[in-house]
Amino acid sequence: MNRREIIKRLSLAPLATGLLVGAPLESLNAAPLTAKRDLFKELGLRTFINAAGNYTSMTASLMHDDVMEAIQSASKEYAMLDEVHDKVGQKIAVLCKAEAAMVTAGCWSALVLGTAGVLTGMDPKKVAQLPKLEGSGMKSEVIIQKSHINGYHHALTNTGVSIVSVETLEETEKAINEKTAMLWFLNREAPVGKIQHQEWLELGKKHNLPNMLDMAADVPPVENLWKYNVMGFDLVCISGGKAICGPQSTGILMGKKELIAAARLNGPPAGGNIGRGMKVNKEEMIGMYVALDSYIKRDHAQDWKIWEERIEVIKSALNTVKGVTTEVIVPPVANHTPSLEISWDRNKLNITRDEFAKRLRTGSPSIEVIGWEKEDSIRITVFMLKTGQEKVVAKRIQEELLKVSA
Amino acid sequence: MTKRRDILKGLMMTLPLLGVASGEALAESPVEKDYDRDYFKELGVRTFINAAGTYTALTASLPHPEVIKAINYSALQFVKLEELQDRVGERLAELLKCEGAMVTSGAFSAITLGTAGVVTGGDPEKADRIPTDMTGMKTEVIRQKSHRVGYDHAIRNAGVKIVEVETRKELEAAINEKTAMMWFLNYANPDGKIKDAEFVEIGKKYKIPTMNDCAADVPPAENLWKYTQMGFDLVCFSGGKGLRGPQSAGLLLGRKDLIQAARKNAPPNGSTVGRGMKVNKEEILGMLVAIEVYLNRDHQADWSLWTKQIKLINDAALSVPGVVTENHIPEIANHVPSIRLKWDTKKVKITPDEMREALRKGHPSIETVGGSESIDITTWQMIPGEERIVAKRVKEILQQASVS
Repeated sequence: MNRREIIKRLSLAPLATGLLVGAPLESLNAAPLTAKRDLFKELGLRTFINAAGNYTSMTASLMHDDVMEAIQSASKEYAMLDEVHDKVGQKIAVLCKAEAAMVTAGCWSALVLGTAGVLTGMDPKKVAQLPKLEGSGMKSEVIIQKSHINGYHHALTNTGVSIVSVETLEETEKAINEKTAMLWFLNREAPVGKIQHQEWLELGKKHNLPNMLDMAADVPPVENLWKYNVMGFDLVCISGGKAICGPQSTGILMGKKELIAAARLNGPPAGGNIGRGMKVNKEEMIGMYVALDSYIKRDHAQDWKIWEERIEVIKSALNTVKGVTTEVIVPPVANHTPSLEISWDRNKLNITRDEFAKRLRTGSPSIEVIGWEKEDSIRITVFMLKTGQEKVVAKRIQEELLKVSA
Repeated sequence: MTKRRDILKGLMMTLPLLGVASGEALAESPVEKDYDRDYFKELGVRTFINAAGTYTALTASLPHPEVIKAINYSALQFVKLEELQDRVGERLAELLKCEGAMVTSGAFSAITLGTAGVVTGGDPEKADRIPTDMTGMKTEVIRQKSHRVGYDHAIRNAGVKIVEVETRKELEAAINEKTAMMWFLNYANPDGKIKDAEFVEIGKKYKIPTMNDCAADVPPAENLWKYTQMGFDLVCFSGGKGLRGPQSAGLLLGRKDLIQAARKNAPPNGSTVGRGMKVNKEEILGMLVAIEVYLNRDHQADWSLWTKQIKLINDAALSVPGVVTENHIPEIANHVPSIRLKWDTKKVKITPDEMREALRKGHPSIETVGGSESIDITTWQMIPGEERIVAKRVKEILQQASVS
């Protein structure tokens, strides 16, 4: 029985609800598996339909068959890790119109290694000193717009630097001094910052400071993969296991050749450095390359159309429920895909957001949604759904809403 | 890649003199080709026979087929990463006879996360500040001078500094209110003045957590529980060496509260020292299966195969006049049958470095280690059968360089 048949069957049969958390649904695990063992079931783990999106805590995305094939193929032979780094890096650089690139253990790791590379250059003595910058002769400050400071900057401070927060161009000019190592830009916060990409880049060029851009979840659109390299950012960091559907524990650092070379000195297989704990194996490196290559070649317009159709399936199922309003939201940057906000009038439907999300989670099949943004409202994305799951999601949400209808 | 099988077939016919020792290994075919695209070939990356050992730079080990199956399986569904770490941690703790366990991004990552767990106590506010702002946290880790190694950078990555001592007296004098942890490098045990059990005893006396880095220290399998049972609060292992799990995975084992604290410093928790040390669900499950497979192996049979493989290479090398061999087993770390080849360069006119390069450049390519004085070989990370190719190439190169 293949997945499509299972889903067909699911959508015909009345769904059993109220399964306890921790009891995975048998039929969901009946998908064609390459192993006979059902390890999630053995461990009592709940698997679910991901209507939330690319969240690390939810294992973000599923790899496609070609990536799995690549991982399997790469696991059969030994190679020099640095050679795999070199060759995969070259391929990725060409795909993303960058001078150079490397696969890292996630976007966060790309931020750490890139910053470390900026600080140490090719000096092994400096590499050995991080994260203690005091008395090392290394620069120790990174300048960030205040609106771009939201937790991810901790990746930079892991190398030992301190963050200097600015708001305006004038403040930035004043903040730049001989200790300034780098300028950092969080792409998804661009709309709320006072200084935009181009101006930020000009500042860097004027003061001869490297400029790093974090765009972790910022494809689609696919063009973003090269947009910021071409624009002139010296280093660009992206997550590999989100929309690109590469291994979840990978990311890409791309940019200036000498900076990538320096970043590599700060990561495995080199030891005695800040990044040795951020291991990426050859399977992940090749898997990342294959995922990226496939992602770029996808029919993105077609993908978008499919997402809109899925949203429509869910939206139309909820139109009939009194007191419910829906709105299609496309985040401008980061997770830029159609999503559906579903809100309800508490006078007509007496259920809290948390309780609603819980019922979807503990129902059968289990469904994860974005249930933490607004009161009396959830949001769903459809880009991580498997074909047909939109019907299950539509039916389950409708069912639970109807249950609490006055 | 597919050619290796043909090469082996050829070897069997042309080299009856080498044929006895590891006959049983030949039942297993070297490279099983169950994939369509050969990415290494496409990328122009040289693949090789690993006659060196579990070196990260050489991609260390090949994951067991069962591990790859688990990875393939795991790729099909979404789960909560924290729930997966919970369940796998419980199962690992049970299998490895310790209180708690977690899968990390390698042994180095286990050291940093463990240290971070100790200094933060799992307080998210503190986890958010290390390594730059250590206010209100202990900042010193004590280690014996003889245990100094590049890997101790992993400790410093958590924001602490290392205090070096040599004797018990010095150690006890070094302990103060800033002491966060005492760190032990397992393979340096014979070199240190304070041995493992005494180190643990001192830690307990002063209520300082002790950590033991056992990165490459299986076999023997018993080491997986020996040190937690000895009383070390945290023990770190590499997952992709002797255990043949994913190469980018490792294990942190030990006290439940400290494992929980370490996890607060690791993904999926953001704004931590460890968020860059990502391990995905495939690796976590792959690591569990690797442990299961490893524990179920017939370790005696493994040992016996390695011994025979080494003998095969030994005999092939010794058939060349002027060659001497040392068969040895490192006491701790990479504790497997190993061989060191040396020769009289008046009789065999090639340096070890030249020979290593010749092995590397030959077909198939073979990687070995050793300094300027010797060629060092292990067979435990070979695909069974490859020892014949290695024996043949070693003999060939030595013979060609022989003064007749």
